[in-house]
Amino acid sequence: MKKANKLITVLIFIFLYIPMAVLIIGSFNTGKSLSHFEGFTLQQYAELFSDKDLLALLGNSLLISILATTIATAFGTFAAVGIHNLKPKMRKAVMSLTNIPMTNPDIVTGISLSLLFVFVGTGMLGNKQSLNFWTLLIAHITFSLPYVILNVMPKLQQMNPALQDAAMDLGCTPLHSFFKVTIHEIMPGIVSGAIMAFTMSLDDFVISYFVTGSDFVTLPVKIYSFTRKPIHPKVYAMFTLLFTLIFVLMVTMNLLQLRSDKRRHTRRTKAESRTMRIFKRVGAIACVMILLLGTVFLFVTTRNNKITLNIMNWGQNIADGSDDTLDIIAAFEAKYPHIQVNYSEYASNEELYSKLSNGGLVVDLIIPSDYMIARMINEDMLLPLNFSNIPDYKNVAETYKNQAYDPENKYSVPYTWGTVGIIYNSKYVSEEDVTGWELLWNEKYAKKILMFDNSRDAFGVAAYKLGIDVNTTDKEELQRCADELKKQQPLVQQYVMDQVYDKMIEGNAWIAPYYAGDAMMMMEENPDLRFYLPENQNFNLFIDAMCIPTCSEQPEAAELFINFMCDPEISGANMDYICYGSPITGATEYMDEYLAESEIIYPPEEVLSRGRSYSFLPGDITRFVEKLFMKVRLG
Amino acid sequence: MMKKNKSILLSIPYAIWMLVFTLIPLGVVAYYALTDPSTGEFTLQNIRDLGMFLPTLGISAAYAFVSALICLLLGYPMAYYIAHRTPVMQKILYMLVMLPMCMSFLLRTLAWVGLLESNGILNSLLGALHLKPITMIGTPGAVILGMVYNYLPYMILPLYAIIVKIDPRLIEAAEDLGCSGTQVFSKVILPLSMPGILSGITMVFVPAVSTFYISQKLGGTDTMLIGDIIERLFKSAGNPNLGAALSLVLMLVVFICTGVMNRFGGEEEGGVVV
Amino acid sequence: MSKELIRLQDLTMEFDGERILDGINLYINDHEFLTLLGPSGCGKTTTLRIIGGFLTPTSGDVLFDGQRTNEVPPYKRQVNTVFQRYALFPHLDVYDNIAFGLRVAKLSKAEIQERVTEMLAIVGLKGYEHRRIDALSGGQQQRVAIARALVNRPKVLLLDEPLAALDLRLRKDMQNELKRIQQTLGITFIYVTHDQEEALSMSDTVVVMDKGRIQQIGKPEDIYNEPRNAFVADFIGESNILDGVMLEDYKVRFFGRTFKCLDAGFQYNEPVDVVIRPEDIDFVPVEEGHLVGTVTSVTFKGLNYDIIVDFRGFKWLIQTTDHQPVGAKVGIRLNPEDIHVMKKSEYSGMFGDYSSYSAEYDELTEDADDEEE
Repeated sequence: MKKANKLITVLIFIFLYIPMAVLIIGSFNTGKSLSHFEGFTLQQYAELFSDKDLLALLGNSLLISILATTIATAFGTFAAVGIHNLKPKMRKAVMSLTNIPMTNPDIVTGISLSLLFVFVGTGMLGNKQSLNFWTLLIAHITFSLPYVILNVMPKLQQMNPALQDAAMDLGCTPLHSFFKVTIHEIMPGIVSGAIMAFTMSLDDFVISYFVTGSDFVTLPVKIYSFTRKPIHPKVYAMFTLLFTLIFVLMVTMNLLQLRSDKRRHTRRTKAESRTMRIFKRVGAIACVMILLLGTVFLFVTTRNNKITLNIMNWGQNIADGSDDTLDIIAAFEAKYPHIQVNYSEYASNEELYSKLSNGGLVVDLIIPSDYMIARMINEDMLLPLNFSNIPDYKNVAETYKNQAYDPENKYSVPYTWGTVGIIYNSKYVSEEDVTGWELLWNEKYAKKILMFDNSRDAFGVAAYKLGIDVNTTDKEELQRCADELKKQQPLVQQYVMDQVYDKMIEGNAWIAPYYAGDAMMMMEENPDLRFYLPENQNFNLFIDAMCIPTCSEQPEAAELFINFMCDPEISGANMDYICYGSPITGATEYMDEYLAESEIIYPPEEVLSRGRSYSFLPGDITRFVEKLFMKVRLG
Repeated sequence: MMKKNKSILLSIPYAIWMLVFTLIPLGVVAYYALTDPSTGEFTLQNIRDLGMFLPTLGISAAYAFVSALICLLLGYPMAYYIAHRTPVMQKILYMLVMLPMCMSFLLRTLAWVGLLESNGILNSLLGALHLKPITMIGTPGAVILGMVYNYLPYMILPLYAIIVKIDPRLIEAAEDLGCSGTQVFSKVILPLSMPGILSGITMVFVPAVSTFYISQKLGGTDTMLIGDIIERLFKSAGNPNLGAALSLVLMLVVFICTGVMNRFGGEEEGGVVV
Repeated sequence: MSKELIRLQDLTMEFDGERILDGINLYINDHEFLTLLGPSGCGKTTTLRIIGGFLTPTSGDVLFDGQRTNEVPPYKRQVNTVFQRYALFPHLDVYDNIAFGLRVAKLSKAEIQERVTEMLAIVGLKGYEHRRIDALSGGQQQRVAIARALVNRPKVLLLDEPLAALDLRLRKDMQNELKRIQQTLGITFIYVTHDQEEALSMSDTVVVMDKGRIQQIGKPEDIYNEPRNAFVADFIGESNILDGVMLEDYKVRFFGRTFKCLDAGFQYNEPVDVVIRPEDIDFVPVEEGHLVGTVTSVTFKGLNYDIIVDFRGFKWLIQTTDHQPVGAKVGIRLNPEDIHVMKKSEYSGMFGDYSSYSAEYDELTEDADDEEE
């Protein structure tokens, strides 16, 4: 029995620590994959320390946790004293309030808080940016408070009430006796409550994910968006450093406690108690200093004179300086030093639409696709552009003007154009199967097929396969598309967006429909990958264009950016990274030759003629499709 | 007396804070659940649409329950083992259980993806042993593994806290009264650890039933959980109203499940002074 | 009262190389009330736990009815225990606690009901069946613990300082109660305590232990009247212990005088310890006294006075109803039956001198005694 327990314990510890070992080993890997160790390097650590954004995110997380913990601990401790003295009935009522965030799933807490902040902040107070640093702080304080209360209350109950009486008998005022006696008695509860609150706050993802706006992002939320794409190993390096730090902290804390326990057994000498006192004092001063520095840091970052330009773009959709490309944002900030870009990403048009329509955040520039632009215009979500601020609009090729989604060219300036085809791994997929969209329904490759995780593209693929018009509003036809997708569902390994990169590059999936430019990027990483456009079927031809949403506070700055992107040299450099077609005349001259001549990026005219664009669908049809797609996903 | 009356005032700001930031938000959720996403008018459509998610709700609860059960089966012997070490050893082992909880659960789950992928570490190991690769990622098993992995410490810690407090003399008393080893366990240790078991199950069940990250990363096409759907409705399907309705249902399920568990355990719990 | 039930043979017990028990030899008769008495750390609880089966001795044997039972687990022994601080199951009510052992033994419901009810009557807890354990007073918990053990009708009941947590008054009541129950049921009781009064008033046989060894076994009266060494003499009641020399049988010399006594069997001129109980000494006029001393302190004790008298620098404790003022010269006479002669032992010279007498006796130290392994 005992041996079995020991064995289980050892096995569970192995189970708990193996994934961490994988991450730590991954931080020393020359390759990017966790699965294959290619060689030892410390490069990731160097990259981590040169990445100011990542370090700033860590700083954000620490700031919010320290502030939330401090406030919740002080607030909660006093509240606990109050609750302790309440009549039993009232105490029960307040405690059941305390239990709500403890029992409620995090996702519900997050959603309810975000809806409240937007409802009150934007809806009633008219603040566009109702999801911000302060609301995030409120959320963190709210879910940290119960930990403090639930740790302090038992200590108050255990405390001998005569102690306070004794203090008052000896001349303390009630407040005085609280600080002289009570607080010492309940200290262990306060400390363990604070520690729990801090860990919960520091590692909170779910609640923050729903409450985060555009101005202040914590590390876990950012890591979530990292994990949807191929993740840079410097993140593992950060994990390793944090792991080491926390490990060392925990060990020293335990050692200190052990030593003080031992000391309590032996008689305490004067010298020892003095060192203890000094130790405590130093600890308290250190805490105050950290807090002070934190607030100063906050002050400095918020009192920055620069204009913040919030750009929201697709994942992997802007040259970022890696692989010898131009860092577009850095170049823009260099040209306009008074502007600071705050860049974030979305994985699909629908995700972007949800973020904007849920509200509560400020976004100045977005790059949706054609049909989504039409929908947003229709729902008054876009601001008309001031073209006097965009003189370089003249560089946009005529082909990409006067499109159906923005017939008067009032709201959008094209960013890229491209096609949707099929990417496959030639190592596993035989050439005779590579014909058209039916490859995605081929049972030979069951569970190796990936599929779009957004309704429009998924229904598009089905419609092209069935020869149905992609812009149909006929519910019966849409139902047929849904049935086709349902047929495919058992063969699909996973519905993905940005995750397609990892799956395809690592060879874990073999076939996926995706955007041509992204396919090119994947092919650079894995030479076995191929891309094709169906020979006898239609496929999607799309334009992504820059727009300014109505929630923007800096439309002029956004227009500067749009104008910047209309420069052929910049656009060309951008295309070198993202591998799409540029709508800017003359951009090809600044592109890599092999890209400019690639048939994937610039297919021949007769192929392009089979391309079809998505156009606007009314809201009820969109929601109908969305529901059908949800049913497909549910199986 | 003065002191008592005054200190009660300290609880008022807290009560207001919790009212404003826990109860009222739920009211707002209810408001969203009863309005139309495009017109903003009152509707029951969202409630009617919930029907299609019922099977998923059942599946999610089943996943979470199985995970909680596995956590209990694994966590109990471990908690028992830890509780019977020397105090120093207990501290060390406790710390080792705590430590993973402090580290990013997103990255740790991602590491499982690297382990379980069809070209992942485990399959490479199998390959090195000349064994056939196994499909692990995308299966229900992978999702449950992810849940057990992430939430096992939530089971171990409350169990440990309870077991370590069981007076060893009670075990001797039971032996003295004729209990064999297994009887001591079933008649004394187990009923006495009931509060820990119940809070452990709750602490695993609640996050597991509402997770979306684990099923997104480790699950396949047929392991969509209720959390996934809510996240999707809010973050990409552009229907926060339906999402709000669904999260109310989720909340209800959780409250009912924990309520039932507490009542079921209430009798046993009664006599235990924690 | 004669049949031997339990025998301990050369028991030794070591924990981490420390010898807790050192050659215990003891037999216990059926129906006997036997008490293991000694200070904290003397090994009495360890001995009890070995009999109960919670510990296995390092060497030596435990025999039950002549059968070696060293390795028999507790739940197979016909022995039940009343634990220090009771160890009642907090998740069960009074009835279920008492029925616990019967249920484990799979008795029929009716029989369980009958026996539990009967037991509740014996310990005087009728009507408390469905009380929660934490709703009971210390004395009531005590009774439940006794009932829980006795309801199984063990051959032997082991009681480990069962009254230590009760206040004085309740303790006295429970002592009588226990004795009554033992006599009614006719069960062997093995009782562990550090309270000599408790031991003397309840037991048929007292085993005085110290440092892992048995110092003396005997009836309470014998132990009191004929302590075998200075330790026993001091631990059981108060004693003045003096250095003396046994001149020949029935003649002992101390304080420069020769006294008649009732002891014999020593060598000629063997150095011995002489014990004189404080209550055996009577004051006589100075001129009639064998010894003459000065009163240095008087304490009123209710029944008597505790008077410290200085005899040539050696202070005696004398308990008497006869008040003497401080400073008074007093004489005492010692009758032969008041003088107890003991062989010299390792304890000689450690006890029996009241030079640093305190009116509190040793009670302060005894309070901390129940924490014993």
